[in-house]
Amino acid sequence: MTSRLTSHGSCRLGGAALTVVLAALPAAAQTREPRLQISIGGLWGGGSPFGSQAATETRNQVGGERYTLFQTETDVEAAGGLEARLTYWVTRAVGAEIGASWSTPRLVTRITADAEGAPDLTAPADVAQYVIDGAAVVRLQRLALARGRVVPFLTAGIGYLRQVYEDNALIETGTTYHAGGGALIWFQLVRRSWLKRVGARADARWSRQDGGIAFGEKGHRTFGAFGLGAVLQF
Amino acid sequence: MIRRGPSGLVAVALMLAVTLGARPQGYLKLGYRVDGKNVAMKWGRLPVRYFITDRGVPGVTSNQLQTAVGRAFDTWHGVSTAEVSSSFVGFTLANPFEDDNMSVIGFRDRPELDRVLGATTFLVDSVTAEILEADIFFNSAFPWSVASGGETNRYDLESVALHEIGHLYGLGHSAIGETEVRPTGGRRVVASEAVMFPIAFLPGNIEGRTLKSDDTAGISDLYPTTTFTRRTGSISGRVTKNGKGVYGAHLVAMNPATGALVGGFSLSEDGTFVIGGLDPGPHVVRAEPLDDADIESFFQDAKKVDIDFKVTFFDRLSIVPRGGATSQVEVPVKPK
Amino acid sequence: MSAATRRMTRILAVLAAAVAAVPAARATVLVPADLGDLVRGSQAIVHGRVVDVTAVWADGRRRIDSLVTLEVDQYLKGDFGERVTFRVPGGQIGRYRSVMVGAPSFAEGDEVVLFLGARGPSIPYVLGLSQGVFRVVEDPQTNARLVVPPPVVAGAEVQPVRRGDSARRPMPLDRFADEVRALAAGGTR
Repeated sequence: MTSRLTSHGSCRLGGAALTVVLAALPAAAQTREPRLQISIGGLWGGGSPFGSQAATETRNQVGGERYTLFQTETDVEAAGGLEARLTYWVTRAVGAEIGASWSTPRLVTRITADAEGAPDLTAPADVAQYVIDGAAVVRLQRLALARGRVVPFLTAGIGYLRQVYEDNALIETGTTYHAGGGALIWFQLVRRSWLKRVGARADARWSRQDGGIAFGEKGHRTFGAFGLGAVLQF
Repeated sequence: MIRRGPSGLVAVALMLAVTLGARPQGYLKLGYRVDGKNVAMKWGRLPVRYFITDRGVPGVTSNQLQTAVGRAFDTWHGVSTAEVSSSFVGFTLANPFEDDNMSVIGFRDRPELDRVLGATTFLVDSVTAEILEADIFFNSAFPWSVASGGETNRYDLESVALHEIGHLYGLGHSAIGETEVRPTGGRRVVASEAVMFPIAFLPGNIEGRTLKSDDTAGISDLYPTTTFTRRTGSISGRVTKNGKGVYGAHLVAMNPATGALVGGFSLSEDGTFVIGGLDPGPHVVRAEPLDDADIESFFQDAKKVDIDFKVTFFDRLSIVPRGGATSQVEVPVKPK
Repeated sequence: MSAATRRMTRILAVLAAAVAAVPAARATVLVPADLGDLVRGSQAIVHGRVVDVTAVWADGRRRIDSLVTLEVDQYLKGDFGERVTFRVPGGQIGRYRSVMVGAPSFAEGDEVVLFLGARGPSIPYVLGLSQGVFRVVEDPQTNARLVVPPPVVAGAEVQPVRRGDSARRPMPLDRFADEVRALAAGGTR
């Protein structure tokens, strides 16, 4: 029995192993799947509140509430921007990605309830925000739609945040994190030697910024973001 | 006839000696005129050596006075971003307000100084600009207390000492405070957010023992550590009305992240102001007139102070840089 | 010019302006008075013009005070004569300058309304240090004579003193004088 398995069974085992190995090999080795991918497009980052803060003074009495001179409430408003991402598909499913983005969120403080009757006012400050990050991307081929033209993916990453106030008055830096997912939508195979496929990328992510422009006790802000752009595979 | 001070060239040299190495600032500082120019009142050498008059008043012995004054000095010394120091030399029979080249702190009966709880005087050599002495007097006509929790119907000595020692170090008044007038007469503080506000809290109130953001910004601005200079910034700009500068406006910078309030004034006829000692980041800027009858507490040239405008916020957030000043901020105000 | 050089130039300009504009010493801790308190507490209320300021040694040559002489225009209360001399702390004799933080300062030609106290035969003094000093200025547009600062007058109820209130304006001199005379005569607040 053993000798029969050794001769015939080992062939089957070997064939199965070869199949497994071939399946694990980068797709390109098997079917010439493009490895490099560039996407360029627009980005929309959601706003987030920083909360309220009153301008108060110490009352001329023991205990009791403080005297409020005026109230403020500060938010970062939603803003658009541009983003570029370069992905290297290590395997058919998993990619390593670096990205760079620029956007212009606006910090606004609403001033209300002035004790001496000054009219309410919204005072803004413009910010230029730059992010460079690295991420992992996982394509969910098994969930692909439209005969493989729409491929969902998941992504998560970490990056460097740089926020520059108007007139370069002040620069704040921090760390940014994101996690989310989206879809790659392929329009057609190009079949040129250097450009393999053209499509679109859409994604939604949850983002968190530690440091940077961060008020209050939390010292960070979280918000949703959306991206949409063109994708080229090489 | 008031005698004139040194020649113009010496006065300029005095000003330069005062200004070299200083940072842009906006806190109201004490000064005096030399040959038509203002010179800041600031100790060139520390520690400030002081004596305590060996005379108490009902409720406060001279030893208790010395202890309370020592605590007040320590409160200023505890500002981590300022380098100030003092040294208690001993008790003396000399009185404050005697020009004897000794800095004396004590109780004194000065009937003509009614409604004055305490005051500070300087004796200055107007040729060298050196402060020869600075005295602080507490008016013995008022009831005083050094109780740790305050005493009803008695003014808290440590609070008033803290204020006067601020003057001794060269700080002027802060205008961050609100008052009301009573039907029985007199004005009363409703609230304030600076020890250097010129009107005292009620007897029994000890809230004046704690320095606020405006106070620490001021003392740090006068006697900064290198850390303070590197880490803070200032807002500079102008207050204008119908395109012309407004002299004597009061400005407050509020940090919307922390709520800290720091004040400044437009000290020239073109409306220029600087608010210094601010944490980096966005600030709300508010301008208001000093029309609540305290003008002489802040300005010698009360006639020039413009009080005909409404309270106004600057319409953008002012971004304070680290170790520098903002771009020029213009706060246009409207007549009442 | 680089951005750093432009910023330094701005800082130096602001520095020069800020330090050059340090105001004279003004500071003390006060128990504040309203106009009624000042009227009731004063021995004389006088409108006039400063004609002389002389620094003198006082208290056995232990301190420097200034004697200020006023040419009287009118008395709103009391009568100290056609010229009145009063004492204020501080002044300069020779190279020595004594500055009392919070004391009012005067120059020849100043037009003022002063609330003066006196104790017996001694030289009068300004009530409440600087609280008893009101300056008379001329409105550049109307040439009206106005009194600054706006006085605080007690009413029937507690009233917050709101900065920027349109009612808080320099008061015409004639109206100020009438208000003071009415309070001196025991009129309603």
